[in-house]
Amino acid sequence: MLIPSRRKFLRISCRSLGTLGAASLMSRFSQVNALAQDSCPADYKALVCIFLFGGNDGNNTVVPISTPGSNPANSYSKYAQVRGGLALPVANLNVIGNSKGDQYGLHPSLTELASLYNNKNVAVMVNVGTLVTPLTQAQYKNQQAAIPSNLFSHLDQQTEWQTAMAQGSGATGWGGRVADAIQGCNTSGFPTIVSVGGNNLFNTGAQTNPATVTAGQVLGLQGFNTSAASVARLSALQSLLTFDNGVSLVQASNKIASSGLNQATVLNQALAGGKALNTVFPNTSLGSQLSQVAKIINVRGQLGMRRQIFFAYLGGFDTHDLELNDQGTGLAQVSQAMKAFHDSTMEMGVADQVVTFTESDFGRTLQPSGGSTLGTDHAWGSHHFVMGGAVKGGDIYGTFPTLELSGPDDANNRGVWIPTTSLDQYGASLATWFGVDASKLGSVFPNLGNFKNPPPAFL
Amino acid sequence: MGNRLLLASLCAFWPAYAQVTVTVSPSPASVHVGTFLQFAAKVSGTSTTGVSWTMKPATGAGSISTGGRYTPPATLPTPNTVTVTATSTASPATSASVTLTILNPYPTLASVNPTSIPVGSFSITVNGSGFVPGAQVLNGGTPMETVYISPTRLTASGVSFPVEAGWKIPIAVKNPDPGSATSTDVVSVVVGPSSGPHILGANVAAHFLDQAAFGPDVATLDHVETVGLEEYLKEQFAAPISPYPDPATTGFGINQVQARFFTNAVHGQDQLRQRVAFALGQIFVVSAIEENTPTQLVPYLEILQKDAFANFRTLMKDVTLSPTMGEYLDMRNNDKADPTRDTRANENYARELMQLFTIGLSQLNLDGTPKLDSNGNAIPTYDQTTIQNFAKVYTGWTYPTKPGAVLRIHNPAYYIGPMVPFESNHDTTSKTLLNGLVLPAGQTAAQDLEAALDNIFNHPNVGPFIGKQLIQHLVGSNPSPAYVARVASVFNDNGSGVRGDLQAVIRAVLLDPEARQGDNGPFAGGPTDVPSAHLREPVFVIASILRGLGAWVNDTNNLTAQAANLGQTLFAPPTVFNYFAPSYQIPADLIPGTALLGPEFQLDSPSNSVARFNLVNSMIYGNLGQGAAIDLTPFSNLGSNPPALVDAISQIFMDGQMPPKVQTALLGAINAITGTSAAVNKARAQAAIYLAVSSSYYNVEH
Repeated sequence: MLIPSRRKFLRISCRSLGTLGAASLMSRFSQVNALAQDSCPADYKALVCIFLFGGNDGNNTVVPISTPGSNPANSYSKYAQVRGGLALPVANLNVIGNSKGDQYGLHPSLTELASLYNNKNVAVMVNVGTLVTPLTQAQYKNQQAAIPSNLFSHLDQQTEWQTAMAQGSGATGWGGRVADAIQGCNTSGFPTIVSVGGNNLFNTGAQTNPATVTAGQVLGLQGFNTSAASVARLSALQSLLTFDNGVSLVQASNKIASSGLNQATVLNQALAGGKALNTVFPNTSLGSQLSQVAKIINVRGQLGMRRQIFFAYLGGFDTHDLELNDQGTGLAQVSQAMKAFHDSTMEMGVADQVVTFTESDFGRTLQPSGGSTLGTDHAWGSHHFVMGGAVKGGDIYGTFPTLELSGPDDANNRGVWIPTTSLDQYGASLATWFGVDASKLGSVFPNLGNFKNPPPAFL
Repeated sequence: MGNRLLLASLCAFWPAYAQVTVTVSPSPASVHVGTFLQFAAKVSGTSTTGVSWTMKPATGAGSISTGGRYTPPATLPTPNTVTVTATSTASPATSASVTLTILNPYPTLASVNPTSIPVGSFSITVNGSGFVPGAQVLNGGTPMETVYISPTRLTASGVSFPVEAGWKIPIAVKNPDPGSATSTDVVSVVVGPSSGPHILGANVAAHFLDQAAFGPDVATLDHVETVGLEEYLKEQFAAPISPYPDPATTGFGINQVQARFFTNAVHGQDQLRQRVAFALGQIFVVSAIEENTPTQLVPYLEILQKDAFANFRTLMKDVTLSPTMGEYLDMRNNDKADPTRDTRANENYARELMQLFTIGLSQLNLDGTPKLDSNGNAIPTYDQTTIQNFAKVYTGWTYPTKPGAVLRIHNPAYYIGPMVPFESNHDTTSKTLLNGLVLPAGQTAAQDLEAALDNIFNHPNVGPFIGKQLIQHLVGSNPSPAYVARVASVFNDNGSGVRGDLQAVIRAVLLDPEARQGDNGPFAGGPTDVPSAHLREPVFVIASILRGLGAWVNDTNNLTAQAANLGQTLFAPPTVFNYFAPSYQIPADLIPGTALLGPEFQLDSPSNSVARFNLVNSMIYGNLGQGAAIDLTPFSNLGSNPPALVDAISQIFMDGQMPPKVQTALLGAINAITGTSAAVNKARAQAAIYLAVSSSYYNVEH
């Protein structure tokens, strides 16, 4: 069923905003949305991005065991030979199958994700990465086609994963542009995007900016009461935030502060009416973030949301040394937090309406780097997870690279995979499921038209 | 002897018996209040070597952990001895005891007020920690007439002589026995008139101190107005370093190192050095997320302090060979390529030294703008092959060899002094570096390293790359290309043919006309968007408000937690990319039609912005926990005269340029608090200061 996209007035009563910033909230939340779609679905959907900062090593995340169906050139023994001291013992891998009768192994720390995969709630997207256009090894080596800017640089590749603009620096993120396209479908002016991971370009649209919540932190202004002196001070605070002074940085800082105060007021009000969730989340950074996301999804009705995007993160994946230890710790946290989050969507009855996916700077070299403890260096294409009831799980999407140094998929000589699926295609599958019209996909993923193959069909 | 004979005879009759003995070290033992002592127990004669630790008296004289770590009480107990006993768990009848003498704490010195004293009779207040009754203030080593006020404050009086005029006299504090010790912190007073005729406007001095210091305080403001900017810089370049606690002697944890940063930032007399070192630490990043003990972190902070006013090439080498950096970016124990394990040299340090610390990703013009090829594209400074070649240069280095130990291929972790080479682990093949420089095969690790650092140091990018970032950290987010070019030119040649002279670069950054443009800011008739504008980062918000309020802090403060609430855990950026990127752009919808950089805005999320209001609330209305206190008296005294109160706040916090509408807002809040009592005056000061320093008019500097 479709409903008109005309912006609805904020359903939370103005009284609930207290004296604070109701007027500025409305003006800020009711900007005209040029990209907004003509029609909107009436159901609820959410996308949750988990960004693994540092560049997660895909080669030890999804390991081929016996894969005649998807890439007969690969085998566990070939993997183990190149990986040397970094090879994960085959007996410790969480074995998964695919529709081609192959056997792969997920990292030993990914027990929960493997179980979700086997229950068809998780799909694996292999060798996805930043691309401007499809790229062969010869084209890359001879610089005969457009190549993403500043490959192997953390900041640049994080940015490209977040902007889906593999050349040039985009000023907006693809999450933000999806929100621009879909924003009009929400029935309140509360931001479509909520980041529990601070400011990240993924969340910034041309017309929309995210709400941010720091998991575990007090929401809202402290130190005011109903005394005349306090009321006068609050009124002075508001006037300092609102009068026009013509100075750009002061205006920007004022807008951020106004947004923060308004968002906190609205969220506090909504969360106060939310029923507590029974799902227990791990007491970890990502666990706390996803717990916060679940609490906000739980009050989607109070917030007037039909479409939401969330951004969470975990750092520590830049495993130049101590990789076996550090990646294991990180992936265990990811697996346990994602499992708890999936459980919470079941509890809320929205498991089919929430899709969670991973991103990361890049993959890492297949060949280890030396040192007292082994690690790996910066590479390119890598493997990622998509989770949710709507996901066609239990299968592997994309083309698995041949794990061979200087082999057919290697960009140089250390096992640096030239991606065979672009981030744009990966994102387009997610955005299409989310409800972005085909006609709007080009505005979200400007390079999508360069890729003739259909986006991966995991949704 | 008799016992041994007895034992021998017993054993002959009772072979199953084995004598269990316990020995405890150190013995005898002593420990200073404020530190701790780790005891060790050796149990022989049984395979069960565990002991339980007890002490006598059991309470009131400190505590001992199950692992034998003794922590003294906060103050010296009477008597100042305890008996520590280790009892064998295998043989509870067997134990050993040690008499432990508890000594007075080590005194540390944070600040002296005033910082300049007249010729003749004078008195000073000394702030610090660990003071005990009987402590003496030493003036150039001479004991002064001292009055003990509290563990963190002493007052003292003495006489200075005309011959000392202009001299800096070191001040120290000596605690009495038991365990008499003298502070090692470098704090001094200048003999001479504290103030003379002002040669600068307060607006200029206050604005300058937001760039060259952690904001103005009343005394420094007056001083800079008196001596001028050039002279103040000269003094600052000569000021002794405010130290970090020595991990080897203090037993401090990382939180006390973080606390000392704030002590130095609020009270240190070497404000500019602290500012520059903090800026350099955000370019040459190591993070306490991994380097999380004082043993690791303090030697690195000391390099940044020492090299803040040195040559950039010295800084490059000291950082490169720092074991802490070596650990953080994997240059320590970086093995040459190993064909048997099929490993290659680690690329981490090779990449980040160039990308983040020195030249960046694309070739720059002198003014910091990118050079473009014929298609209008940026030109990379290096490619993956260059990285792999530099990675080979950085092979073979390991932790410094511990005194008394023998150099090994992978020395055990040790952080004092520079890393050392283990030559046979160095890749001696030839390497092709920047601009095609080829290092011949067969060089030593040190030869390769020096040549590689020279190769990078002499790349034309370094001046604009580093110059622009120093401008962004000290002055403003959006310097014009011409400003960057002026600073880069000084980097390239300080006027005497020297490249990389950081003192000259800092002078160029701070005295540039664009840095001074905001002296008369947008609210004093200046242009609206000045290049010197930037958002205060959370650590500066805290330090500069405290300085403006004349606060005192010491090593027990927990201000780090306050900064962490705003997204900036001191010394612990999330990655080597720092807390924020120099290229971070303020989101377009916040300032439509204007594209401006705002690195600090990357931390300024809506929720962190709310947290900033709540931080100010804690500072002004609540308390900051132990180790930090503000005194609102100078402002409360103006509570009955609201315009004067607002003016005082404007002078200290807004360079005397508070916009009229802000003044009106503050007056509205002040006048809503009615009455004439002291409590009313304080409430008025609180309301006005809260509004001023939580507002964007304070948090954005011009």
